[in-house]
Amino acid sequence: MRKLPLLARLAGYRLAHATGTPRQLPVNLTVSVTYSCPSRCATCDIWQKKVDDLSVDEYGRLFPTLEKVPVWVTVSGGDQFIRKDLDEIVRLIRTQIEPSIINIPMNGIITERIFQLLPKIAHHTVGAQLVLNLSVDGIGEAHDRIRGAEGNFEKLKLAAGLIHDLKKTYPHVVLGVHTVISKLNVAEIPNIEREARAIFRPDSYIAEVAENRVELKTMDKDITPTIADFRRATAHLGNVIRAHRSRHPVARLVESLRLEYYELAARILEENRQVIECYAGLASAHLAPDGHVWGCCVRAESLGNVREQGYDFRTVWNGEQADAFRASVKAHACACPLANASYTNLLLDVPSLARVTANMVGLEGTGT
Amino acid sequence: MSMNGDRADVRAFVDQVAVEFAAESVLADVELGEPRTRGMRVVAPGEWADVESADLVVSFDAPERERGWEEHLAAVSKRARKVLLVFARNAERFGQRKAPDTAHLAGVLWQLGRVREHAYLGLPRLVGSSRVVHVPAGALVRKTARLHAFVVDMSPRTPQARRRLRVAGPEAPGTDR
Repeated sequence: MRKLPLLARLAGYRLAHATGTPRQLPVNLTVSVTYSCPSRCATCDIWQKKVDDLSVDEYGRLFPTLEKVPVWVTVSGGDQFIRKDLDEIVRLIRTQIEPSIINIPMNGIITERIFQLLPKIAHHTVGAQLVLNLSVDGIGEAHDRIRGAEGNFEKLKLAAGLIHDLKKTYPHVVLGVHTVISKLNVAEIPNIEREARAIFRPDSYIAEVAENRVELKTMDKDITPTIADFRRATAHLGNVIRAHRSRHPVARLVESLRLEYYELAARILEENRQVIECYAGLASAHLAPDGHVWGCCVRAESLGNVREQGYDFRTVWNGEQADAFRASVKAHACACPLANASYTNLLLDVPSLARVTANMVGLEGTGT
Repeated sequence: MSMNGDRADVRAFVDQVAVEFAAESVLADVELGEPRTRGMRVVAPGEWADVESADLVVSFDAPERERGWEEHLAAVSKRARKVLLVFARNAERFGQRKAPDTAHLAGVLWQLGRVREHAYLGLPRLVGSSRVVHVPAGALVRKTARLHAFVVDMSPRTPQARRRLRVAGPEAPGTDR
């Protein structure tokens, strides 16, 4: 099944959304390897969750059952670098799933562990694109306050220096900077974007709106910016992307998707509905640290646990709970601007895909 | 590997790295020839285990010459207090068959220290007048250069590691590198 061209697979997801068949494994997978995290972010309480994380051996049984379908794998947390065996998990992802892109968002806090593991991770991922996204929510102490981690900003500089050195040896490494736009920093986005570009010299700069997610235990937090503020921030970011297009193909694709995403996210916040169809649970999935499979991390509803199904992802994916989740999403029972799922949704929406493609190749000045 | 035509470029690169890292003492494979860099001593094969450490250690063509070259480089790297400079055949060159591929060599070196730079040397005159081309390099450079040099920073990699060594004192394992 893996050798199916991506476009054919995407067509299959559209067909499945409309008719219920064919059943395909997800092309976009997020693997959360732990909830543990040394950060105490104002926008996230995931660190409070305590579960029994899947072991490397368990991942080694699970990943082959994904049948090499996922093309984009995000390795998420918590802080993934809490795990001493992160390099081994990433190696299994590379060898057993063989995605084209492996994306690791990083808070950059556990410096010594990062310096130990990141060179190994870069080595294990040769043949794919390794996107390392540093989380930057402010500049200097402002960042440390929002992230609840003293000295975090200075540590991010060390991590960025290491990644720049890795990029010289491993051309498949891409450095990104990622900002969560919340009420706490929305007024500062232009400054954050400018300073972060100057300090970290990333291949791409992207942002995402802070939202209420079950996964992050933020359902009661008042963190989402007003629509007007969010639009002002993303208008600036869109202008900057258009003015400084990356030459790196993966970074350029991400930028083009972001241009579309910023407009989509704003409209979802304004209209509180699925502006384009959502394929969470069909084309994208989330594997929680304890083996639960979710359609998305915003709802974080278990479709089943791989530990109870002999580590067979497909058994969970084709189960009744998964079908019920898909039916609920199809019925527009929810709407959210989750960036990860939105990427897949944009690729499956023909007008959006056309705009992203045109923007990628420079035929269109704006993606919105 | 002969460095007949590239000796001047190699020596110039060694001098440049020595200056960048303020290296006052240098150990080099005997293949590098008569010592010309200040503070340099050449080391014959089999003598590496007995020599005192130095700020800069230069290894030449180890992957080609040494059986178990990964272990050899690990042993040599322990003699380097500040920086290890590794010259190897450029595995990306057209027709180059024996050399370990760049990713393999880089993976070994990243386990020894922090690979700060790598560069291509021994370029045909037709390709360019530069003696050393640092990455990112164009395809023509990568496909024609005879040598590949890696600059491996051997200082403790993180503030925590440096603090630990300071606390442990000069006798701590790993301080004499």
